[in-house]
Formats: sequence, structure tokens, C-alpha cells
Amino acid sequence: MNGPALLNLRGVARSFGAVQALKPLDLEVHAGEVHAIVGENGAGKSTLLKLVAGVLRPDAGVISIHGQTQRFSGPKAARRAGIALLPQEVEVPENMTAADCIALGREKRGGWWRQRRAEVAEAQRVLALVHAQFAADTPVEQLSIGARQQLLLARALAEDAKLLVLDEPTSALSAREAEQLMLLVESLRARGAGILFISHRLPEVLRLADRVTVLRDGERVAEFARATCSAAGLVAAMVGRNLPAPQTRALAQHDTLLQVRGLRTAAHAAHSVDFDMKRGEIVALSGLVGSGRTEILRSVFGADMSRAGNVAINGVTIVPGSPLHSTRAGFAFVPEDRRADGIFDGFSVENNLGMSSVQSSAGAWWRSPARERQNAQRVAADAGIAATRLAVAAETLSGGNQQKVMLARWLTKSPTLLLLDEPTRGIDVAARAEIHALLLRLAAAGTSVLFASSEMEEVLHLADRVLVLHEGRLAGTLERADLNEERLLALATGAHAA
Amino acid sequence: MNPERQRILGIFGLLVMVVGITAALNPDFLGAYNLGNILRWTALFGVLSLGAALVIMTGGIDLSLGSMAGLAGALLPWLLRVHGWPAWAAMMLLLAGCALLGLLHGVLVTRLRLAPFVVTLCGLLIYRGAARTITSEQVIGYGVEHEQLRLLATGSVFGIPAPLLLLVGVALLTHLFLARSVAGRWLLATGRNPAAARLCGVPTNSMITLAYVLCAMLAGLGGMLFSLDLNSVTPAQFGQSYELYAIAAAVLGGCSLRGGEGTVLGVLIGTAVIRVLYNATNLLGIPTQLEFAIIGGVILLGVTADELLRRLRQSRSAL
Repeated sequence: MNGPALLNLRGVARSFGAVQALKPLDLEVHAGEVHAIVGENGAGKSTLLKLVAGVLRPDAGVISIHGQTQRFSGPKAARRAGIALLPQEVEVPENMTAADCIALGREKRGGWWRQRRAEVAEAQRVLALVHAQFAADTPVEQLSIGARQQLLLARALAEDAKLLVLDEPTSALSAREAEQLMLLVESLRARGAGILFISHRLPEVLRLADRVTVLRDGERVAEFARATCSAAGLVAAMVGRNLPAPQTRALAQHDTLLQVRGLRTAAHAAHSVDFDMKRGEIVALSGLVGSGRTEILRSVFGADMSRAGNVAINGVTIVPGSPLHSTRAGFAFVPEDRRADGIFDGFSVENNLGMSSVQSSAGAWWRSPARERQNAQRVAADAGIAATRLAVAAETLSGGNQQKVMLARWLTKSPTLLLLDEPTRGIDVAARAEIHALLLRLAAAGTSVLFASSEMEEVLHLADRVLVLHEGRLAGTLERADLNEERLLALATGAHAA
Repeated sequence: MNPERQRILGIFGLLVMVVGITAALNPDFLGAYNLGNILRWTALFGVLSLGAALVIMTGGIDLSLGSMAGLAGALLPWLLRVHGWPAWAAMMLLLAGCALLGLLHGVLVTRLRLAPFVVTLCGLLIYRGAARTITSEQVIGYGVEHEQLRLLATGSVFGIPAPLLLLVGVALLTHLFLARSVAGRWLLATGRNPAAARLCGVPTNSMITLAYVLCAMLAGLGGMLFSLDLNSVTPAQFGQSYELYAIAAAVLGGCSLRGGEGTVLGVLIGTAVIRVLYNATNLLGIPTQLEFAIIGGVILLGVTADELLRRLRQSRSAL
């Protein structure tokens, strides 16, 4: 390629507190080229992308476009420089037409007034470029997710974007929509756009990418040109480090506790999932972001009304949409989002711990502060929460301690099935180790544990069995004896079927 | 000191300040007759404020309670004098009717997911119309009959106004409910974080509905007491904008409209502040046109100070 690259990164790095999310990195994207970034969860892909799109500022290094050094003050500056980000979660205003959405923020004016006809003409031009099947005056709320992505791409073209940054663009699309998007990416490349493409789906990467950079732990570990790229090579590079082989754990042959049959969630209505769990077993739900882990976990617990299929514990069917019923049947649920779904701000740690067991026995009307305090002290000790912390407001605790509170609040009732969504996301190593130890103790005492996790090490360390999901479908089941990172990743990325 | 107690002290300080300034400017303020009146009216409004507070604690709002009070307050003399019902039966019927309307509010809010503001705003309009239609717009009172019954609102025991005793009873029950009962804890948890409460197995929909039922019943009770005290009810006006006083008292008393916080004692002091301000504008010869503006101004001052103090605490604990 001749001349300076469209996008050029030299030694770009970024830390969050003590964690170096991205170590100094060099990267180039040329016009008319698709450059794919792959890596496990937490490898630094999102950080890289936010730096390029001006959402974050680098601690060190230089970003240049066509050889000109850029210092983005924010996403707006990056957009003016010709970089368009298509985020993973497509957010577009729904209360307007496609043409309005394309013109939003850069309305064509004649004095004080908008010139709608010019806006519509431009919208028609760019919608044709992205092969959109809908008219410029279609209300956005009627568009599918795939069509909304086309809309955002059209908007980027209207802004004269030279570099398109696509963050997992196909993760929310049906197979047909994903195919359309890939055709579109190919046609944009042919028109000379540079494309930075982030995906977990290796078949897509292999088809589209002219170059692939593999990140691991915030560092580039490999770079492949199209000719040298293979699925096996990518997976090997992504895994890299040698994790200690999972220790075998004696699992007594217990009876079946949980039966899940024909479970369908709204997010992936086309696929249904069946599995069983034994008493005292630890099962991991593994898969990429958007593979349906959270939805399955919530459906098993009965958090949401919308589900098809049957969940039974000890032969008793769980009523969907009634956590009250599920908790009485012995379920416990630790959600992923601590702030939104877990912690009661302003309530003391003690009150937070007592929340799942306010009622000391079914039908009881009055609380017993003495017993609540006793219970709180006991479960706090079990979970490793300092007793001196019981009186402070829960939101002042560290993430790790909040996570322990959310887990410990169920221990007063000794649940039969514990469901956890990302049990250790964003918490420090020591707290993580304590939570892992607690989960293993609970399992040894007969509690079954079903957890969803993006952390490979966590899955390998805890799980007796792993259910691997790929796009809402159960791609395969790995017993502890067969469990290793390559197999897991291969199933999760769709590199091959089980 | 925990923030709840700090907040009660703060609002109590405001009460002392308002009382002090008024008493200094006009010594008549501290006269037994005037103080008795303030206490009586604080007690009557206190019943409504507690109802409003319960709904606000769940993160909702009840705009209908003034009309609800008006409906119950107008129908009580109507049932007694026009239809000759016995007092206990009429009061039971009205309380049950209010509870039913509260249940309807709760069901519309939780099952149909209608906005509390809209549901209770419609209630405000409908119950006013109902009160006017049923009583044919007649100004109605108890006349000279039912002297015994009227003692509930006008009497006193050892110099303590009877409605104040009633309020103390209601307040103690409410406090016990919030501080010691399972449902009370669930109600506050629902207001604080509905998603988390639900995932903890709390029947959040039932708790929200319960708050609307209790609020409606307290509004009915308050309305009947007001009507017994006044002995003359104009269906078109009786109880009008009481919901705003009640909501203002609850907010001033430490109930955040975000839900999940508030104390009975705070709400009672908040009610007292508003009544004292009202009384002070009259005593100090401030033009009555300014009355609402002054009450509004002091409430705004109170909640602004509270928010600033909260931020100060937060920035300190962050260090």
C-alpha cells in the first residue's frame, strides 16, 4: 500500500486504575481494507475501539489519520475526523423517520428552518449505498435491528466517514441479516472505506478480514494476513497461556435435582435448550456475549414472564415470572448488574443481607431484629465480609464486597439451587478467590450451582460440566475430564460443531 | 449519626426556627387557643400526610387523596342525615369503599403498568365529580345532632385535642408497620430498588398495591375527621388541594420521590411546619395572597438544604 495509512496507531496505551487494559500497541488500517480484531473477553478489544472512536483518551501514544496526528476531545471530534463507530448495542431514536435520524444533529438549514426535502434526498442517496430495503420516510420504530444497523451505516456515509468501526456487528442479527451485513461490508470496502471489525465469530473474520490482530490481556500476540489465517491458528493465539489443567474433583453420584426441557427465551426464540443438573453439581453456562447465557439463567429462575418450556426442581414445576415462587422452591439468584438489580442503596449491609430472608417463616408478619442480626453476622462470616461493615451503607462497599453481599443474602435459607450471572465481574483477585472458595464449599455441602461466566479461568476452575452456547443454541456440553480452553472456544465461536 | 436521624433533626430545626420567628414577632402565637388549633389541624393533616408518604415510599404518588378525603367527608353527613345510617356502619362502609378504590389504583399501577400520576390524577377528577353528584351539590353538615361523634374531631382529653390522640395512634401503627413488620421492610425495599427486590423474592406488586390501599383508607379517615371538625361540607371544594399539602409534608419530612426512604416522625414534623407557616401568615398580617408562595418557598428551601447536605456528606465520605 502506498502513502500513510488511513488509521495509524503508534504505542497507544490505556490503563484503568492499576489495570493496564491496553499495553502500547501499533496498528494500521488502510483504505479499502478490513482489519479484524479478535480476542477473548477482557483482552482489550473494547478499550482499543473506544480509543479509536474518541470515547476514551489514550494515556500514551499517537493516533493519526492519513498521517495527521489527532487528539480527540470526544466522540464528536473523532466523527469529524471521519471515524464512525457502530456500537454493539444499536441505539437509535425511535420517534422519527429514517431520514430524520440520518439528518439528526446535522440538519440542513435555510436560516432558522430545516430543509426537509434536501434531508430526504440525502437520506435516499446513502440508504441506496447500503442497499437498504426500506424507504427514507419509514418510522425507525418499524425497523428490525439489522435495518437499524444499515441506517447507522448510512448515517456514517452521509457524514463522509472514511473509517468504519464495527463492534460485534452481527451479534444481534439473524443469519440472513448477518449475511446481508457482510455483503455490505464487502461493498463498502470495494468503495475504498477502511473497516475496523471486531468479532467473536471466527467464520466471519475468516471471510471478511484482510488482516487479523489477536489481542490477549491487552497485548497483541499475533497478526495474520489473509493468506496465513486459519481458525485453528486464531484459537491457538487467543488462548496462548497455559492454564493449569482443571483438577479432577470427586463428584458423588447424586440424583437429578433440576430438569430443564424445551426452554426458549425471547432473545433466541428459534432455539430451545434442554439440560439436567445433579445435586451438588457446578455447571457453567459459557458462550460469547449475546449467546443467550443471561436469558437462560433468568428463565430458569423464572425472573421473566416470557418463556416457553418447563423447569422443574425435584419434579415440581416452577411458575415463570414469579421469583417469589422460585425462592420458596429453594432457588437463589445473583444477578449480573449489582447496582441495578442487586444492591439496595442507602440500606445498611445488614439490611441488604437480610433482604431474602426478612420473613423468618412463611406467613410470618413481624420481623425479628435479633434473629436478623444473628443471621447477618453468620452469613457475613461465611462470605468473608468484615463484621465491622454490617452497619455501613451497602453502596459504600467495594465491588467485591457488594458481590459477596448479594451471594451471602441467600445463605440464611441454604438454597438448593444457586444461580449466578457473572459472579466475579469487575472485582479484585482476592475477593474472586474467596467467592470461588465459597461456591466450592456450598457445592460440597450439596447445593447445586449454575453460573454464567465470560471468564475462562473461572469456568475451568469451578465447573464440573460446561454448557457451551452459540447464538442461543446449545453448541455442546463438556465434562470436566474433556474440558480445555481450545475446545470451549471452538464451540463458543462456532469454529466447528461439537 | 445515621442520615435518617440527621434529616429528622434538620427538619425539626426548621420547625423550631419557624416557631421561634413567629413567636418573637407576635406573642399571641404561643397562646393556648392558637397552639391548640395548630395541633388540631396538624393532627388532621398528619393522617393524610402519612398516607401520601406510604405511596411515595414505594416510588409512586397519589394525587387523588384530596378528592378521596372530600368524598368520604361529604358522604359521612349525607349517610347520617339524609339516610339515617348509624355512625359506625357509615364509617365502616366509607373506609371499605376507600380501600376498594385504593385497590383499584394499585391494580392499575402494577398490573396494567399505568403511571401512578395519571391513575391518581383521574381519581382526583372522578371522586370530586362523584362527591358533587351524589350529594346534589348540597352544603351539608351534622347540625346539632351527632355531638358525640363530632367529639372525635373537636373534643379533647386532659387538654389534648382528640384528633392528636388519633394521629398518635395511627402514627405508631404506621411506624410499627414500617420498622418492624415484614411487609414494611418489603415496601421500603420495593421503593428503593424494585428489580432487586423482585429478584429477592419480594412480592413487589402486592406491596405497591398495599400502599395505595392504606393511603386511600387514611385519606378517607382524614376526610371524615375534617368533616366532623368543620360541621359544614361544600362538596365542590372540601378537601381540594389537600393532596398537595400532604405530598409537600411527606417530601419536606424526608420522603424522596425516588422512593425507598422516609420516616413517620419526619413526615409528622413536616406537616407541623406547613401548618405553622399557614398559621404564621395569618397571625403576622402577611397578605393572604402570599400564603401559598411562602409555604412553597420554605419547602423549596428545606429540600434544597437537605440535598446540599447530602452531597456534602457524600463528598466527605468519598475522601
